[in-house]
Amino acid sequence: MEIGNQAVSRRTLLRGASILGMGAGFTGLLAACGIAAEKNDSSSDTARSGGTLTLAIDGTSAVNDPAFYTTLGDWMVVDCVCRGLTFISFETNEPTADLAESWTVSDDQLVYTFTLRQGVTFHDGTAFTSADVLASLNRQFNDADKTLPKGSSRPLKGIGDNLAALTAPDAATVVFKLKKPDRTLLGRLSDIGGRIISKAALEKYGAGIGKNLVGTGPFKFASATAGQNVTLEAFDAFRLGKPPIDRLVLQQVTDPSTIVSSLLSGDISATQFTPYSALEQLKGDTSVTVYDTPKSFDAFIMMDVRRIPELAVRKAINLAIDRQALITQAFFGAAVLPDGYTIPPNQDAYDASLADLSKTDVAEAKRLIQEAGATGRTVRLMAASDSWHPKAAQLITQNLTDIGLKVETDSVDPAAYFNRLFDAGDKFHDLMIWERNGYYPDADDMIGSLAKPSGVYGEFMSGFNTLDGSAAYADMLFEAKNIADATARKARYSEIQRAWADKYMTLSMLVCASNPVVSGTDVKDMNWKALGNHRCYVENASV
Amino acid sequence: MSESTTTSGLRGALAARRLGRGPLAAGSWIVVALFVLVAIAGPLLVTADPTRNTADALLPLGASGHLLGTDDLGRDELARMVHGARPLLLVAFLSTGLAALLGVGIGMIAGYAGGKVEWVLMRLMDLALAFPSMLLIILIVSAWSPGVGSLVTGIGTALAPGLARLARALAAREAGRDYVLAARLGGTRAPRILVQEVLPNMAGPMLAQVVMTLSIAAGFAAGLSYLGLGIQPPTPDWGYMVQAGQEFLYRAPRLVVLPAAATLIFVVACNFVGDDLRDALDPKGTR
Repeated sequence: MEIGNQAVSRRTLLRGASILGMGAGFTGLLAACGIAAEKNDSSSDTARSGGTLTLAIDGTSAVNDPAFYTTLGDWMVVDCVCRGLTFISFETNEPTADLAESWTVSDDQLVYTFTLRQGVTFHDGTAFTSADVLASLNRQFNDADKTLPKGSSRPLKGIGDNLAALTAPDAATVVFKLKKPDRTLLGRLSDIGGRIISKAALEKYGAGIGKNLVGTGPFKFASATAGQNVTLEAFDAFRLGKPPIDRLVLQQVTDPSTIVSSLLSGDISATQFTPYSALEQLKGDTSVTVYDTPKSFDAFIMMDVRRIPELAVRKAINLAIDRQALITQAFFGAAVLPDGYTIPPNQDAYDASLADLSKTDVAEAKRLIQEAGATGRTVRLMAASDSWHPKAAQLITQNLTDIGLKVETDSVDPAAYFNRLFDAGDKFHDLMIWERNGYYPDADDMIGSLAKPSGVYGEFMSGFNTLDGSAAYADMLFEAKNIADATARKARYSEIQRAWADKYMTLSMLVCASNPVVSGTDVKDMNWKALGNHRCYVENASV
Repeated sequence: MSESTTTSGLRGALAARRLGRGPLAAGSWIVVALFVLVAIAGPLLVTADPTRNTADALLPLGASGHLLGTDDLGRDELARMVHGARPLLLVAFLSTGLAALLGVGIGMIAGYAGGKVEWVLMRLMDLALAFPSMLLIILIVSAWSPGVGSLVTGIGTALAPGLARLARALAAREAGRDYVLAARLGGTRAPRILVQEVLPNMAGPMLAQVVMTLSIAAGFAAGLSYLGLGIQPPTPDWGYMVQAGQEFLYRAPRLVVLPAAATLIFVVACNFVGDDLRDALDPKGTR
């Protein structure tokens, strides 16, 4: 090989490369030791209009559709582009009016009449009317809707199952007629599936709407590149006024150390995907703000009863988990014990008297395993390979080994993991480490989804629907969510949770954890409580 | 024993005397030997359990009872480093062995047989080479459960075509030589000619190339483990240790630096050993 006029032998090249490699390694070491950690700390203390807010997200497939789940980041884009009839800010847990100006509910709780806000325009300039509501929500309720992409997830399809009719008597009114009362309807309409898309855009783009989303939200779609970022621009005609920032960029950043260094350098304005291991370091840095994000998501193991049929073995697994170790070593303190079982402490139905459902008792767990003749049995554990999941998998592996089980683990790419949860034939489907975020903060969205004998958890993941008596839980959960009195409702949810855990134990709660939101100190008025629930309401934020 | 085998034996003895002459070559041989020794005997010397989580997370270098400190789950880092050598070396050696078996076998058959057999086999190899190696390995590994078996199969298969090309050229050259012709005329069957006559005479350059391939295989093994496609945690593995240690780069850089440096040193040493082997076996070549 010749470089310039000099002949370079392979050996010289190799030697040079190795010196260069070691040099690079040494530089990395210096950087890691903090020698190269100086940063330009020129952040301003005063908020200003204009500028770009950059949020780090878990990923983007450049498809942003309320009926089609791809990544949390892609649904954060939907939050910014589209809004629904109702809105829950997460600063309070109550649904408030958004595109619906007001509503009335019939005495029998079966008819909801929404009066729509007038003068609202979509990003494409069309006026918001009841036709847009029907076109958008029918995508959720009707699986034959032609604008649905293949594989759509339709988070509000459950409402559709209980819907007798959805009508629009005039351009400013929408009426829901339900088969059975549903007191969670207003809250659920605030969820991602309830977002309203321009009917004209739906007709124009059809199933491709995810690449051309048009809503009434504070930001309009500008560009998106799969695997990189989505850029949104402030919408001049947003009904609450143009956002202070000009541009919002949702940037895919998956590497934990890059998230930290980008936060410190100011390349990222904020994120809720902060690595737990970096929280202490970030708390000590004056250039960022670490928010005390509520411990609002459930981290759990779902057990497939088709693979682990003995209740005693499932209970033993639940008793074996060292949750304090998980809090310390997997979440670095950003989690609490699941004393309310699946209801996190920030929700109304939280009942700390359920703490015994998630206690640790290794001796009892061993006894149960021996009694069931399961000592030495191999169980397979699957976990996503990002964030807290692999650490939790390793801690749990040891816990289960300690009670006499043999554990095989598979750490799975997050993109592939979600699909594998649906595959009951997957080799590692015995135990699955997963999480549920409260996208609308209500017990119905936690225990109401987790204990339902259908859908992702009760059917595909755990096979709960195959157990005797499981069908009754659908009715019990439906009844519980319609109890008007908050105290009685909480008591009923507690009864259901206790009965579900005692009789079936398909879900072992690990912890209730937070999605730790961190921002640059120059970021003001960001709704960090919503961001801590993966909801992106940054219309008031400034940088 | 045929004359050609005797000659190759002599050549081997001479080559052995030329091995490890420079300090770099000698050092590289020692490094590779040390790594192999650690992989085999290390776990007997370091008794701490490399998979046992404890509450003593992220203890620093030199902490009491933990020479290299502990990782984020409180596991002894020295034990993890020592035990982590085994999967990497095992995968590297086995996959290189598989690549050699496949590549040399296919190449020899193609080179010796010539004609249509050669054309078909080598076009297949060209096809495999046209695929980026890493992509091919990921495809194969993803089709199976992650582990040593899938890694060895994936890496071995992906590296075989490169060796097959060299083997074909060497075998074709040897196939036209008199001693091969003589063996043919003597009624020796083709498989025996290939194994007893051709293989010993192409062993020198092939061996050097196979050792070079070892370093590539080690790099792939570490890379795949880094991507989560290799040995699954909690079993210690250098590639995965680098990945898992990344989030502690600022707090405990040793969790990344130690396994990364060990992998780098092994790969570079293998390259120099391969170079040295080539020089020893081909004294007329450029040093």
